[in-house]
Amino acid sequence: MLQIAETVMGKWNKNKYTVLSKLGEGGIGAVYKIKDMKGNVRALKISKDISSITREFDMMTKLKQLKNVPRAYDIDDYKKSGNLYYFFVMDYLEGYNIKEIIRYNKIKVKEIIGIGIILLNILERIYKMGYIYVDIKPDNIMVDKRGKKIRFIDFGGVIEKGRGVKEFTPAYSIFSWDVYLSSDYDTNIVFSVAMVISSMLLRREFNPLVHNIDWVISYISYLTIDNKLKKCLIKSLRGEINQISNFKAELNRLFKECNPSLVVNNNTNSKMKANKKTKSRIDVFFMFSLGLFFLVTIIGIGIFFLKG
Amino acid sequence: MDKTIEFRQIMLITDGESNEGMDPITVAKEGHSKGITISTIGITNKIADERPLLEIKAIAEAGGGVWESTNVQNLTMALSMVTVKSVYKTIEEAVNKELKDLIGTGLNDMPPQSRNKVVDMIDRIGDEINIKCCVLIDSSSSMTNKMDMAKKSILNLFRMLNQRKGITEIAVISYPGKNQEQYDVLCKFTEDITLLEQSLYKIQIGGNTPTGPAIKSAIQLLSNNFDTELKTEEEMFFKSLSV
Repeated sequence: MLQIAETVMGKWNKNKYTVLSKLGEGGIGAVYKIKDMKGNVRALKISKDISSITREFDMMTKLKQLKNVPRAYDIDDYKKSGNLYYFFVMDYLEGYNIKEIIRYNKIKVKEIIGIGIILLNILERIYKMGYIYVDIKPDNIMVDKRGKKIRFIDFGGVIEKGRGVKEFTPAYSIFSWDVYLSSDYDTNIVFSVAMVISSMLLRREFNPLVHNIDWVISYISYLTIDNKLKKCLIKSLRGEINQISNFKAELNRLFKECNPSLVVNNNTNSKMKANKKTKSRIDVFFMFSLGLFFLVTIIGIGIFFLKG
Repeated sequence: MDKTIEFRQIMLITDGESNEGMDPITVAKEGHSKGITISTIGITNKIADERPLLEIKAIAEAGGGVWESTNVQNLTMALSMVTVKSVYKTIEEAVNKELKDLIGTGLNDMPPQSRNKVVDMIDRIGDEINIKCCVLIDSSSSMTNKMDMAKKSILNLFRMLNQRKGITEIAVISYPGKNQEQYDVLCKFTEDITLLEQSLYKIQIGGNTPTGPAIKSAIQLLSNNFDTELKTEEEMFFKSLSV
């Protein structure tokens, strides 16, 4: 959509932004890292969908008093080669989202529990203001590089209380898992957060079309973590905890008891890796000896013919 | 007359190209002219074949709907996304037209800061509108391994739409049908998820891909509105009385 070093000028407010790099692309539009006229580095979300851009900007403005919501600054239109695009400018967050952390970074069990508690706090605050953050998933949760702050990104799927869902991710939504069919807010949130925690502990994501919940639960039971944490997660995933406050109290207690140096280690995973290494070492040794054998035979043949 | 608005959609789920019966694109155009939106989802394999996707795109364009290609593992997401998109697309178009008629400006011509009121109205309509969605599911033999996931995805779609204030009704037609038939109406429009679930078990797999005739049958099912027929009959009756 946009090129690096391109200048985007708003049709209405006439603000100019220089594109620095592309941050990502989704179903609705793309996000770029940009610099405004004063030299502030910000993020710009651009799309051809006028309602999505309007809706998300509006929601971020409504939630701006919350610390864990990035600020939105400007909304405008951009005309480029006959096409009209809609965009808004918001805070640029330096850090990783939880999906990236699951994939690449080591994380301590205590930190994971902490993230879970913070998520519950944010979701409760948003709910008290009359809104629901539906699309809870690792991709939408950012961990700040410096301050270790947790922030939600992507407010396109936030709905007013009592309205229908527009966007959701099956893996983190209770009604895709055949678990418990209720529109009860607390049970749904407890499930979603428990699934995010489980994905971080297991360092992988699940899909309700491929796996079933018992599968996820058996994976959890094999983990080398506190049994109380396992029990608490399993109960939440079965839809048996129907109060956010209960879940939070339990996580708080586990957070205090948790060994601060315990790192997520997937025993089976590391074993598999170790196996692969020895296998490749055998391969290298095998190839080496094969090469040596050929070298000796060639030299042997050479000597034979030279003599002949 | 009831003033509740109804959104009528056909959702086609297929992993191949039509190979029997009339041209699906012509049928889709016909359906769209009757106020029905036709959206499509193409289930793709790892080696993407262009031609089935082109057909899917053409059907959705002729039917005024939205299309998407996905691998079967992400079908739930695609199904709900396409439905939501097509509902909102239709509402947006209607609201935009109304705006232009009333005040001579579309959403585009309004300053960005004041668009939120219109978008909020669109959201409200989207939440309150009654949705009738006829799912057309390809049950040719290539779908064998994908059918379980497709069934779950249809149920998830119903659960999602059912959280709204408006009434959600889903019907399911599989094609080809049993005994050499071109299609099979597994479930007429229903609000009952258990009935929907039971009917999904009746799908039989195997045969050709008669996409055109299947779309036609869905159009019939959607236009066959018994209530309104009764109402018009009643109206006629009252009119004749008053005369």
